[in-house]
Order: sequence, then structure tokens, then C-alpha cells
Amino acid sequence: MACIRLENVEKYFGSNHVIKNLSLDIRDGEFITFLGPSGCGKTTTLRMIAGFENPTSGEIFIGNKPVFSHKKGLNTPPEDRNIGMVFQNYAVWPHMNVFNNIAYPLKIRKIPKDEIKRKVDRIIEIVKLKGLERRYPYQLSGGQQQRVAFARALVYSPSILLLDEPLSNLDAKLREEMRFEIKDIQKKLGITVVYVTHDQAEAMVMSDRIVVMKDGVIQQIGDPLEIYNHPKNRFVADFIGISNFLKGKIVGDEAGGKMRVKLYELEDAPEMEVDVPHPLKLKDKEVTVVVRPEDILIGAETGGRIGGKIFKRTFLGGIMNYIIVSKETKLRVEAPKHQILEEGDRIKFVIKRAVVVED
Amino acid sequence: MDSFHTEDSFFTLKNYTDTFSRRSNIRSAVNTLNLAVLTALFSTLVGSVLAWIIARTDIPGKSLLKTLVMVPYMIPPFIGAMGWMFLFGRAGYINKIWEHLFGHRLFNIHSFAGLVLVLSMYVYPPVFITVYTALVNMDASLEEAGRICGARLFRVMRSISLPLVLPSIMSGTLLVFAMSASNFGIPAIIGMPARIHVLTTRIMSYMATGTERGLSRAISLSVILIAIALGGLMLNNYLVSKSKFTIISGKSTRPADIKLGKFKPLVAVFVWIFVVFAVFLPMFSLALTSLWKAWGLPFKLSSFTLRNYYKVLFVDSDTKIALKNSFIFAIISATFVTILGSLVAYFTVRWKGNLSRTMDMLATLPQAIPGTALAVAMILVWSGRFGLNLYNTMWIIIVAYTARYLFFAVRTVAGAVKQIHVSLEEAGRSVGSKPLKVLKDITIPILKPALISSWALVFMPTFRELTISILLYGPTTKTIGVTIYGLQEGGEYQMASAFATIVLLIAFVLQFVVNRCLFGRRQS
Repeated sequence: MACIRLENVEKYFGSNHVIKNLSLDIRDGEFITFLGPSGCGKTTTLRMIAGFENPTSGEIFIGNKPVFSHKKGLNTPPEDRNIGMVFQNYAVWPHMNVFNNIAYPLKIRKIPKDEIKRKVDRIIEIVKLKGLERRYPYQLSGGQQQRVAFARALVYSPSILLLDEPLSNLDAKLREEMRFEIKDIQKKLGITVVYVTHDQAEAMVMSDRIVVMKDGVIQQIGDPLEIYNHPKNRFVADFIGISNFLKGKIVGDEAGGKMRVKLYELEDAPEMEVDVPHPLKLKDKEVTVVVRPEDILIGAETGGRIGGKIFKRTFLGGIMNYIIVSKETKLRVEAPKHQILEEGDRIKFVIKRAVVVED
Repeated sequence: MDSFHTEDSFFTLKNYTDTFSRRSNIRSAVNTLNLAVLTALFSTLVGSVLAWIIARTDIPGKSLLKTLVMVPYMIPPFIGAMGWMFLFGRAGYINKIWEHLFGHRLFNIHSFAGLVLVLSMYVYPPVFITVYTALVNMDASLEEAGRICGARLFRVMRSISLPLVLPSIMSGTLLVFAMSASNFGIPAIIGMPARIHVLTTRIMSYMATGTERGLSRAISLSVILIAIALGGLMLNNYLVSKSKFTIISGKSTRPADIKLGKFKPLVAVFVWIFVVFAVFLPMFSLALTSLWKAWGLPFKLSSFTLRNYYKVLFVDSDTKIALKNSFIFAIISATFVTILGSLVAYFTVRWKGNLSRTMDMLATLPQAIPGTALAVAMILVWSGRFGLNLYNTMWIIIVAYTARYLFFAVRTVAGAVKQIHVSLEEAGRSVGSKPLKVLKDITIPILKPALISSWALVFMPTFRELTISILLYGPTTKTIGVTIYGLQEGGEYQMASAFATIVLLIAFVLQFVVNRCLFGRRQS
């Protein structure tokens, strides 16, 4: 088990600046996820930790031992970093059967035969591949191949486990199941996991902390709840979950992480207290406010006093989705499925929670 | 079937017993096997090592090297053999220099070792390109997975990469085996002066006797030759169909290059020495010989001339006719093959069934039959036995070329037809176009690059063909290959080299033009 530290890591591909001065501490035993759109540098960062890409400058430590340092000219090759890794396409060797795929890392470590057998059997049990030891990869389903990849990455008890979008090639149902299984295995082994994905639901379900990235820069680091409730900027709010963005005018000074704001884009220009979780750089009296769809309640009985009209209704199974219009501003609202309103109905609504973000 | 036939009885093995009662015939069969096996092994070694170095190490100038090591594939083997002969023959340039310095010749090319060496230099490219492609397209994460779980790069190469490309290597080896057994030009120029006979050259000598007995012996030997070549190809097909795994290439990054470190200069020098010997020196010796006034003159500026070129192109009627013949034969064959091959390809892809499967097999089988044996079969079929006598006309050569190269067109066009989704044609029908109009307005224009490339693929080898035409030419139908071979046999090395150099120049220019046309502006 080990912590990971990246210090002032920069990476260029030719003249393309893909990682910009990235520093990050990953704690021992933590499940951390790099989340971001494609091209944000999340996979590059993972491959730099693995040793498949070299930073242009900066330092990387695994378990407090430097594995890469531009200054000292130090670069530990991947095979000496004691890392386990699961690849997006699993990379299960087609010329070896399940047992030999999983036993390979142990053979390289010159572990005695009977111990190899014992260790492989144990890990096969954990990833639920019992009885398939003699099968070749072409005789396995995608999900089974992935379990082989996991077993192979875990069998030699590496100090950290790197996962590069391991679920993206599975069908939706299996993907859902595997999220919980991966989390389960991680808890059982207490291993540090770095997980790369562009799927925010995966990140939410599994991570202790999420690192949201864009254009090679970390946008926000925090636990899933924090990232969702208190997104730091417009990008994070937009990328994680669904957000309504409103313009507001500051009418009172900040106090205790709260501030009074006038939402002048809505009917009656209501004033309300909004969260200010992060220090703000204010240029003028204007701020951007994020409202989550489930934080808007419709109906006079909920205390709603802002006027609006139902513009569109869609039924999503568990919930009812409305788009309402208030003074030409469209808002997305999630309502319980029994609250049925018709398109064109006049309504009153209330905003229960809102948060200020940087643009 | 004709080999089982004599005048007095319909079915007999007498022709075989007669043929194989002669030890020289048995020896030629054994030589063929030895030559094919040794050449296959040697060129597999050369091709795979080069492929690995150029595909996966960090030596400089990789794309240039890749082009250069593929050059021998464009050179007709018999012309290459001439180049090697001028270097390492009895009076070859390098042997002469060596003799001058050390008092003895360096290497006698007219030996079995020489035969294996020269043949290998012209048949290794298929191994190189299959292994190279396999190495470059290999999913990088398969190797990365090996490294991350603790294996050093060389261990990964040995236990993961090598087993993964092994099917490609074996496939290349068996292909080269068949090619080596079928080759005529190199054994004729390198082997015959040393009285080393293989099946192809033996068949040629029997055919040259012009007697019934010679013909029946040639037929028996042809059957043996076909068996050897087909054996190699069928084993290959069997292994390909048996192989359990294919190398799946995902999104993946290119595999990492191996840092050679302090070995880099050594490896680079090794590769460049190879390129100089295999590619440049034979062509250089050919060009040098073509400029010589007479073989053996002192190495002085006054000994050189361009007269040989002038003679080949404007004076000598034989070479002028040969140029004209070869171009005509090649143009007609390429056109025939493209039309016929496209029809076969289109129907086999679009209408699956027994008929189209048979058609596909008929079109691809002659490609597997050695050219020498195919030519013998052509003589049997088209010399009047079945009513039609094409012997000594240009048509027997063209029919043979068409049979031999039909496969090229079928394969190229079938690949392209598979790319055209049926819906493109159905869309044409749905907007009210008649089937033939759809073919003309939609299918053919989309297939155009494939049609052009199949035409070029047939034109290139036919216009300098030797193996088939040497058995089928008549007094008025001598081809370039036959004429160069004749000049070479007659000791007119300067004329032969000049003509060969011209052929090489034409081949390179055509290749360049075709590459430009096909890959310069490519439709998606």
C-alpha cells in the first residue's frame, strides 16, 4: 500500500501542452478518480504514474520514494514501480490461458510453483473465475476477460492499482454491477486505486475523492458530495450532474459562507441566500449561481412564490422532468412522478438551495 | 492428368518411373526442396530481424529504411541475379578487387550457397512486411501489461511479443518456401553455370528439347513442382485457419520503441551494410556493367559509354521488338485480368453460394501453381489437342498471364467491394435507377481506385515476366524477360545490363506514379 505524490508535473507532446503544472497528493488506501472529458489529460497523468509516459518536468513519488524526477534525472521503469494496472481493452494475452495470464507476474518474480498455484487460486476466487482456469481469452466473454485483467493486476499484491476506463467496453447492466465489485475488492484489499473515467456516475459511486480535470488543469478535488453540492466553477457544475445557471446581483455582504443575491433573470426578481463555499474573485456585483434541478420545488404548498409556466414535460421512469419558463429563462426541474402538471400551466416555485460558482 | 497418360495405355505411372529412373531428375527435385527450405529459413531470419529492428527500435531513419528494404520486391529476380553475378561471379567486381588484394576470390556465387543467398535477397520482403505489420499493429497495451506486472522489456519481447507475431512469421516462411520452389530466374542465372539444377530449370531444359519424351518428362516434373509449392501454401492456409488468436488492435497507442543505447550505432551500421549489399550494390554493378564498352576493359573513363542504351532503344531490332511485345502483352493482360477479376470478385462477394465459391477457387488456384508448371499446362491445353492452337502466338502468353495474375485483381477488387455497403447500391435503386445504371453511376466510380491498382498490380510483373514467357515465346513473341535472358546467356553482358537497367527504371517510375495516383488523393 502506498501514497502517490505528483509535484509540478508538466507534460508536452511536441508543442502541445497537455498537463499544466499538476500537483496532487493521493493518500494511502484511497480510491481516487480522474474525471474529465476526452483530451483533458487524465489518461496521460495515469500513464505518467505507471511510467509509460515521462513528464517533461516535475517529480512523481510512490510511497514517498521518487520514481521520476526531472531535476535528478531519475526514471524508474514501469516494471520496477510495483504497480498493478487494468487497461481499457483488458490486454489479456491471447496466447496464454486464464491461469497463465494471471500467473505471469508471479513467474517473473520467481515465486515457487506451489505458491503460484495457491496465490492464483485465491485471486481467482476473489474475482469469481473459478473453473475457467484452462480457457483461452477467445473463449471468454468481455466481462470475464476483464476479471482476468483484474486478477492479473492484483495477484502480486502491488502497492497501487491503476484503472484506465476499465468499464467502458462492457454493456450497461454489467458496468453497473462491476462498479460495486471493484469498490468491494478495493475495500477488501485496502489498496490505493487511481481510476480514470469520463463517466461521472462511475466516479460518484466508487470514489473517495474525485479529481475533475479540463485541458490539463485540475479544476477541483473533493469527495463526490462536495463536488456535486459545491462545484467550484461553471465547468465542474456543468460536467457533474445537471445545472441551471442563473445570473445574480449581490445585494448583501458575504458572511459565514452565505451571501444575499438578487436573481434578476426570474419573474419578480427574487432575493435569496446562496452558498459561497469557495473564496470568490469578484470583479463587480455580478455572480453566476448554480441551481440543481432537484432543488427547485413546484407548487404554492412548498412555499413557492416565484412565478413561471410549464414549458415541457418528459417522463423519465423514476421522476418527472419539467422545463419551466420564468421571464424567458428556462429551468430544468426534477419533480416526483406523481406531480403531474400540463404544458402551459401557470405555477409558483421555490429554489431551496443555490451555490455561487466561478465562471 | 496428362502425366498419367501414354500412347498405348490410358492410365500409367510409366512416365514417372521413366522420369525418376534418371538420377539428375531426382537430384533436381531434392535440390528444389533443399533450396526452398534453406531459403525460407534464411529469409525468415533476415526478414524478421529487419522487421523487428525497423518496427520497434529507435534506430534513425526508419521510414527511409522501410522503403529501401522493400525495394528488392520490385526488382525482377533474374535481373537481381545478374547484378549479384557481376559482383561475385568468376570475374565479378568484388571478386576481382579481392583477388587483387589477397590473391584469391572472395566468394563464388555460382554455388548452392550463392543460390540460397541471392534467392533469399529477393524473397525476404513478404516476411519482412507481414512481421513488420504485425509488430506495428500489435496492441501496445499487451506489452505494457507485461511491463507493469514486472517484466523487463526484453522479457516482454520474448514471452509476449514473439509468440504473438509467430503466426505471421510462420505464414511468411511458408509463402517464401513456395516462392523459392517456383522461382526460375535465379536458379537459371546463378545455378545453371555451376550445373546446379532445380525442377524449374530442369523442366525448361526438357521443354527446350522439343521432343515428345522431353515433354512427358517435363510434365512429370511439373507435377512434383506443383505438389511442393501447393504443399507449402496449403500448410499455410491450414495453420492460418487453425490459429486460435488474432492480434486485436484497439484504440491503443503505438508500441514503445526499444532504446538500443550503446548498441544503436552497431545495429544501425549492420542494417545499412545490409541495405548497401542487398539493394544498392547489385543495382550499381548492373548499371556499371551497362556503361562498359566491353567486359574486362580497364577501369578508366574512356572505357565507359552510353552506346549500349542507344543500341537497346534505337538500333537492335530484337530489343525494340521485345519492348513493344512486352508492353502490348502487359496492357492486354492487365485489362483482361481487371475486367474478369472484377466480375469474379463482384459476384463472389455479392452472391454467396456454391457457384461463386467454385468461381473464386478457379480464379485463385492458378496463382498458387508455379509459373513454370502453368506454362507447361498451357502448352498441353492450347497446342491443338483441344481444337484450338495458340502455340507460338501472343495469345498463349496472354492467357497464361491472365490465369497467373487473375488472383491479384480478384483479391484487390473483392476487398473494395466488401467495403461498399449494399445500402449504397440499394439507395441508388430506391431513387429510381435501373441496376445497370446503378453499376455505372455508383459501384464502378467507387471501385475506381481498386480497379486502377489491380491493373497496375498486373501490369508491373507481366511487362518484365520471364518464367512463363521463356516456355511460351515464339519467333515473333519474344518478351523483355526472354530477350535479356538470351543476351545474358550469349555473354552480351553490357547489352543485357543496359536493357535490365531500362526495365528497372521503367518499373520504379511506374511504381512511383501508381503510388502517387492511388495514395496521393485517396477517397475515404
